[in-house]
Amino acid sequence: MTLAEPALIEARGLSTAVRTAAGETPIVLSLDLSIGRGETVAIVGESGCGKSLAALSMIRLLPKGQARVTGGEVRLDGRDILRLREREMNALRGRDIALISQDPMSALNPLMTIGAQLYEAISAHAALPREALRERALELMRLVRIPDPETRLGEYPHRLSGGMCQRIVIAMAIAGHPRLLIADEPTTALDVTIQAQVLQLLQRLKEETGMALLIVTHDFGVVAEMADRVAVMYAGRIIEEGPVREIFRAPRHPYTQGLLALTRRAPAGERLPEIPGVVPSYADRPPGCAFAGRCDRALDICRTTAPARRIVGRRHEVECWFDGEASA
Amino acid sequence: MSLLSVKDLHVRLPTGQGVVHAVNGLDLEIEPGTTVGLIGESGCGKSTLGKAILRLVPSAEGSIELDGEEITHLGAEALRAIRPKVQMIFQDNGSALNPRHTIGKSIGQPLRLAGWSAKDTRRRVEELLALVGLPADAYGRYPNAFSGGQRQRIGIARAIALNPRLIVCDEPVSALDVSVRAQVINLLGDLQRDLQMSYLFISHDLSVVEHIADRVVVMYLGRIVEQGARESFWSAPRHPYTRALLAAAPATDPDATKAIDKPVLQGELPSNLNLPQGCFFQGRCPLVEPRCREAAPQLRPAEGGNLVACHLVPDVGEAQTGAPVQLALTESL
Repeated sequence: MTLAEPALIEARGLSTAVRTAAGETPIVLSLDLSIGRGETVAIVGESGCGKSLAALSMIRLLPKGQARVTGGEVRLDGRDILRLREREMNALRGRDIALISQDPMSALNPLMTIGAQLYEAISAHAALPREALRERALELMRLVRIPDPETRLGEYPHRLSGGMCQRIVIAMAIAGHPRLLIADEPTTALDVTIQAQVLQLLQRLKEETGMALLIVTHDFGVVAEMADRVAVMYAGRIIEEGPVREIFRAPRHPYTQGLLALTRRAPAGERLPEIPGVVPSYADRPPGCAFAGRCDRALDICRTTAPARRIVGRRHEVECWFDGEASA
Repeated sequence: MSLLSVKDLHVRLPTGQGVVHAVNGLDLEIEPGTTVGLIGESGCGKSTLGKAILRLVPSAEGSIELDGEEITHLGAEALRAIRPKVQMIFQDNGSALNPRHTIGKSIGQPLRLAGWSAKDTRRRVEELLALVGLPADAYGRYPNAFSGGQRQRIGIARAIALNPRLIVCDEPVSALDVSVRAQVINLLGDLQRDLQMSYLFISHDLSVVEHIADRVVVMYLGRIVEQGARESFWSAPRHPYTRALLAAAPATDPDATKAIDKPVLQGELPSNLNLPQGCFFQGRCPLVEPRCREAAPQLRPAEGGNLVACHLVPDVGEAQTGAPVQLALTESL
């Protein structure tokens, strides 16, 4: 992928495996992804496709002993952060890259007040006297639109709703002015009204701070709402990537086409379009294209040989042998 | 005649913090062979309503009639006779299955409880497996051998085993991946057509409800704020809450208006420990007026065909005549 200006962060050949009883199972398979400054990129895919592990690999927050990066590089400002010492990596987390996860409740310490957790997040990046710390915490809470922040400072997480907890998590994540915020399914556990509030908040914060966003989601609605560019993952690989408008208008991979057809409204009483079958487990993955078993257009070559990445448009790439353009 | 008729239902659940007013005076009708979609934010009481209909939680006031029979206060014995008629499918069917029972045993359990012989049960379970699109060899396997979508099929097989008239589907596809979701929705549609069952389909996913529901009911804090037939509901929503809910759904097109430029409903569902005075939605309503804080609005027919509980929505015909027109609730209710 060629960019007019150098990317903020760029993963090349990134591979991640999880440890299982039977040994190591590769989950993320040689992933290439770049994110420009201030850009919003979405990784979209179904459960088990490796999208969360890919994102966690980029910030080196894989669960210890359960998963590890097995290959590739992740360059931030041209420097491979996979080779940094843990101490250097810690300095970078929060300041350069921050993460918000799917379950805000589990991201907060139930035994610490909201204030104490915010102070901790702020202090990780700047040594501030107590009064300045409080001011900064209140400023962050106002930034994420927490009503009545003075009261909230002294409260514990259980007093707050899921939506409010997610706002606190976002406030902690942006405390160090990160240049990239990774949001792993940031609204999956939330109601549609609260989801709209959180998405609106992320859009505003992005405009105000100029940070880049990497959103991991299974929801094409969130993609349409947020992303400049989208990478569709299937069974560990990005099978299609491109500008969000182009992907919605002219998806090229049959899997992308199927997923998009599912997000569009089908007339009442008609059957919904289905993608038959399920995502193959690693052991059942065919030697060729991982989607071949579910694809109604699969050719012989699809089952035997993995397709190479092809450029099909401006910054639009796809891994599929099928050459015809079809509308979803 | 309606298959299910709920009248002025109240459900109050005692908790450590006080009494939760989960359902607060709710009327609901479901016709045979149709689907009523129930939407609203978490905590609005939609799941509790489903459980009350199944008599899994007690009702404090009001009545529930199933197939013409009053079931609100039936005793355990009489209730057992009703059970086959109304069943439930849960969001996470994996946890609803006993991990130590084979699929055959799990699906056959309601049949055995209803007095079926082992031989008849086995034949019926094999028939059910085929009906929901599971392989015949699923019979002797255990739940952990199945994916989320397959476990949902198992739950459906179990629910339809005794030919129920009504199934309460509580977020049946919310935990499933999009590609599998469509398979389960299509299966529910096929089964309804073939077996003439009714569904009360509880979901926060508006696009799924739009596809499956003949009528849509919007709940807020244990009350219905708007309901209407498919034809009018989506095209002419009138209640400020319904409009906000529909507007909050993320766009399915990158060129549509983004959240940042949309008026997004602020605040959250208030606590149901202490119910607000007047209209329950007043605290978050962008159009709130003094009268909204005084009296609770009743459901009334509005222009476009929906029933709406909002003081600000004029009655049908009011706009033309300039005076409120009293209309009896139509039988289509």
